[in-house]
Amino acid sequence: MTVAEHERLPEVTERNPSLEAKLHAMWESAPGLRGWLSTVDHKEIGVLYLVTAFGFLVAGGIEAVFMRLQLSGPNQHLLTPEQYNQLFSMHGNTMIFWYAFPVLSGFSNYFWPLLLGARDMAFPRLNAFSYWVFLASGIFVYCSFLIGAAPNDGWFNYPPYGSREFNPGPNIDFYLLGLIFFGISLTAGGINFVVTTLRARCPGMSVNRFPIVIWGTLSANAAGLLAVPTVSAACLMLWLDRNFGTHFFNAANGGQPLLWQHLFWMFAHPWVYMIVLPAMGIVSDALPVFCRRPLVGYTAVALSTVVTMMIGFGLWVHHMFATGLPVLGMSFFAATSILISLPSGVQLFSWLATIWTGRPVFTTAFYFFAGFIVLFVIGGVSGFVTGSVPVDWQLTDTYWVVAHIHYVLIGINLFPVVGAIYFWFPKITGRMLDERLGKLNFWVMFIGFNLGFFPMHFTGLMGMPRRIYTYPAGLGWTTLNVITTVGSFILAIGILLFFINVLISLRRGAIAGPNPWDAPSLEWSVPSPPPPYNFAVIPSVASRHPLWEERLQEADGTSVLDRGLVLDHHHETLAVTAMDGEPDLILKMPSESYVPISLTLCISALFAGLISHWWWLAAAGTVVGIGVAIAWLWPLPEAGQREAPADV
Amino acid sequence: MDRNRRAEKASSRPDEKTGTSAQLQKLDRATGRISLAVFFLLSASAPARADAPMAYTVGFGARNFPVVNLLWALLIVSLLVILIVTGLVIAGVLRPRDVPRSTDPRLVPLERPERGLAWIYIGTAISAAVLVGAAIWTFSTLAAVSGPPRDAKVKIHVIGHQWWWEVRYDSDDTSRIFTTANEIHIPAGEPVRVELSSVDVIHSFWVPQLSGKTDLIPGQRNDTWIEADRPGTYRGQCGEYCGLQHAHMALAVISEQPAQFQSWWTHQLEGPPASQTETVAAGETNFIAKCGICHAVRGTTAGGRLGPDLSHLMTRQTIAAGTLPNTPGYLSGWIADPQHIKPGNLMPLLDLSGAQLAAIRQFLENLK
Amino acid sequence: MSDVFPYRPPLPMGSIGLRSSGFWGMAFLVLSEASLFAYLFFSYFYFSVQPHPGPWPPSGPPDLSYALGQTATALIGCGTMWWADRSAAVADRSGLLLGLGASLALVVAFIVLQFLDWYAKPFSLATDPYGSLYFTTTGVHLGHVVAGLIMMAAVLLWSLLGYFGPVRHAPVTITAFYWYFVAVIWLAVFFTLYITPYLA
Repeated sequence: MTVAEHERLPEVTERNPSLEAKLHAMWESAPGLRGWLSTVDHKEIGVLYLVTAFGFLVAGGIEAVFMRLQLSGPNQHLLTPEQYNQLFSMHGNTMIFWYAFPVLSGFSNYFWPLLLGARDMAFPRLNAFSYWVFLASGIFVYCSFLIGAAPNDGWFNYPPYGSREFNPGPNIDFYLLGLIFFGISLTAGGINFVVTTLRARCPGMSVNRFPIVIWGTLSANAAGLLAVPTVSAACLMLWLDRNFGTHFFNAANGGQPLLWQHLFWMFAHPWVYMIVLPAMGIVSDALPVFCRRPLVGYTAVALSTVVTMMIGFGLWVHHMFATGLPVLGMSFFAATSILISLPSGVQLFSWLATIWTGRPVFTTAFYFFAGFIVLFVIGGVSGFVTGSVPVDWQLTDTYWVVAHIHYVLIGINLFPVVGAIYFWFPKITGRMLDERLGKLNFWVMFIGFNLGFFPMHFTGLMGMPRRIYTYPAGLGWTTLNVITTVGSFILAIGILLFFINVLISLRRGAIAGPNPWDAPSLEWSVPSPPPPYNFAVIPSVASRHPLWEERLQEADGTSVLDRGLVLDHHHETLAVTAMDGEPDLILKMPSESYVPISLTLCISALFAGLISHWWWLAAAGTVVGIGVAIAWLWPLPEAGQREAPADV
Repeated sequence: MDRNRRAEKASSRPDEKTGTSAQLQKLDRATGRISLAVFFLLSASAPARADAPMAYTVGFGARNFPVVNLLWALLIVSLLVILIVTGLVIAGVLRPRDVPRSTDPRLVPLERPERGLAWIYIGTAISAAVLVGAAIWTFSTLAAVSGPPRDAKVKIHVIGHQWWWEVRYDSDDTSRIFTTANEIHIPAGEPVRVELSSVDVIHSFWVPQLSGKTDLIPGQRNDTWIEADRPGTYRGQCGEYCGLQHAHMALAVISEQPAQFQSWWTHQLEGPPASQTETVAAGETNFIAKCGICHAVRGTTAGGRLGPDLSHLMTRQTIAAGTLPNTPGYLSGWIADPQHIKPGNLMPLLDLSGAQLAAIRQFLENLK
Repeated sequence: MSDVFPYRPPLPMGSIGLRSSGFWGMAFLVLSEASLFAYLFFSYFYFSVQPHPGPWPPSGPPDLSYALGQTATALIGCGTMWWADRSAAVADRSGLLLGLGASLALVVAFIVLQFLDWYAKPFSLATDPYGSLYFTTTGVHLGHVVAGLIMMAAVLLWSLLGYFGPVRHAPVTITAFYWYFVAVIWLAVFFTLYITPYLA
């Protein structure tokens, strides 16, 4: 048959050692530091994300330790009010922005191409770029500590307290510019995940065969594309108010402080679903492995993931119930806030059914996932109670809400994340984490967390407001605060045990084969750790559980993992049609490049110039950055981006 | 009595079982934690205790009764949900299976049992029913407490400052309008309309045992109402982060019999008693010179509006927005160094000699 | 299906038209940027429905002369970009270059008109909330226009270097698509800032 110049009849072959060697040489990164700075390998980027996110977790945890010490008794003077305010603000910012979402991006980055049967993400350089910008934006905000001017208006940063008049230093500017900076990473990552899911999959990977973590991360990243711009807009507006005298939020000149709250929460409410839905997806995929049965109600769970995210856009006013808005409007948002419990509930019942009708296997990962379910419910009901407007008028801005947010953040993000590490560590490193230490890790974390945070429900009911650096004796708050401080320290020890387990097992963990858990999805069909090219031949799938389908006997066809498209002319993977997963195009990918980190440095110069008002630096960063961006987008013949390719 | 026995019974359950496996420890912990929860909740339901003045699990007044009931209902539902789901998780994990328990998935066979979806259907149906009930109760409570049950005869205007409360009593008779600070008196058994605004940042007016929060937002006028059904003192605190001394921005609402309330109002309109001693007179002069820029005292020429109105200061129980008791010692200490107790607040360190400080204090102590 | 390799026909390779990853990436970037403008318009309308001491806009409905010119350049630019893309697809090199050149000139004209409009305003960024909203919204849009200008310049350079042919000219298609987006957003800005004051 005639093959046009821009087409190719791709070869199909069996997996074989010489092919693997050829692909290995083609795909592996440069050694050492050079390799890390120029990598576009999604697995290395995933590891960078995970390690960096855990670094921010530790930073946020240290901030919390100081806070808890200050609050461990009435009228203490360990911290000045300004120090406490900076610490609680940065604790929130660090955990909610620089830990909670990037850690999930780390898993998604590492595993998506493996789960979807691809060799890499759709945009490898954009992938690296989104990591470097995440790191740079975190460093940017933390530089504020070096001059004692960290953001001090909470993670929600309300004006007028955030305006120049009441906050003359650069503290708030670090927050505003830092979030805009971070937003670049989120948008880049969001585009990458969405396009990868829609395009870079293996044949047969139709949408109803996605692992649930794909649904969760896809929903989260698609939502991010729509939600992040509003916080960028709000931050731009407040930055202009503070630096150029605009009047968006200053009431004296007709500005509207409440507009900030609308814009911020229109971002931040979807955001809180973005930081839990991927983690819930991980549980939906990994829990069934340890229950020895497929997830109950896959379709219901996948749909309710998407529906939860969508409804999540319609809830934001429940953060503003006390601001004097009309009752009718608030009632609508109370209704949606109560309604969203339903799709979340669907996932809960699915997990319960999977455990109940399955055969539990008592691994550490399973403990984390089972424990997560209890924490999920506690976090969920404490949120449900605040959805009731008149009750929220009491609960809001008290420690009840602090209890709620920690149950949903630690319970629905951190616990599944740690469980996911226990699950996927063998795949990433080729070694098993120690199970005995793991079980100890779980119990210390679980007990410490509940001891620390369950009493906060009562502290809240006893009327202790949030964001206060001290409190008087005699209000009934002291004992509860002491218990919380003790519990939080135990939780910190638990997290320390986790790090110890990781460090020990990296050196001395038992060697794991490709599939130590006998799990069903594609990442377990490759060696541990995976080779740089992931799959020697592109697999084809015929069911949701390629590695289980023979035993379950429920697929119409057979997944074929040992034979498939070779795609070894360059860095290549397959693009498929969006819904059905039929082969559509051979995607040609760039290999390693210093462009992503270079552009990040230019953007860092831009933001450094903006915060310090060194406009020449900002301009230089912009101009050089434009040059780097053009170099990035320069059409490459080997990527098939312009005519006369070097080799077909 | 009853609740202690119940708590004991709950925590004694694990002793009946044998076995020391980690799974049973899980049950033990969960039960222990839950019984602790029950104990705390039930003990919080006692009538307002002096050691829990900010707890809103109890309420006094027409605005709070429906909310407290709804709160308790939601708490009980929540607790039941937690208990049921935790029970299902534990039972689901521990119940006997046809194959021995293992820590290695490769040793446990795969299967896809047909049943399972029923969980989702039944669970969602029950949840929906509960949620709809909660929503309906919420809306009816909201309707009940949004506006006062009858027209409020007393209207006050609360203006938020960093970090104190300006309170202005309105009246159709302009001679009866006056301003005070940080302590609000209301007549018991009557609704009081409260208008809220702010001169600087966002604050929130919150007296937990009388009403939920309403924000004070600059450029915006919010309206709320409170009512106390019986005389008493109710503590409040700013409920929206407002800067350095957000932690020390408390207020007190004192409800009195209507007759007492009226006589308090009339007394507030008067000026201070004529100075009787030289020290008090000297204190007044010093006060006007050093403090009058920011503070006002009715009946003197001190008319500053930047700080709290200090007329009849001695009728108040606390100073510095509920931070310190109103005693001579604390008052002296506060004036001598406001930054020590409330660092960052807007009252500067004044350069006062010992004599000046004593004179000013005596003048203030005369403001009965 | 027993045969899991149904792809008897050959597969295209690399970045080709609407199947290129670059196009998909641009499509989602456009979605995100469009929502940014939606939030800016939300802010504008939020302010416009507040009680005002005077009229809204404070200096009266804005003068339309420059804005109409900008609308014209934006829409004609869509036409010239479409023509450039079509020329690339039929290997018409001169059409491609002329189309890109004309688009570039129109974009420059748009930017000049925007600056003239700004200069002629009786208020500034810091006068009042309306001024802040006006300059921020049109300024953010102008930023996107400048990005389009840079893209067109790069694509023109690559076209001059002969990189594009009838099959592989994805950057032209993608840049044209981006410009359509910028033009549509301009129509929304025009309607919100310039037309709605006349309708009120």
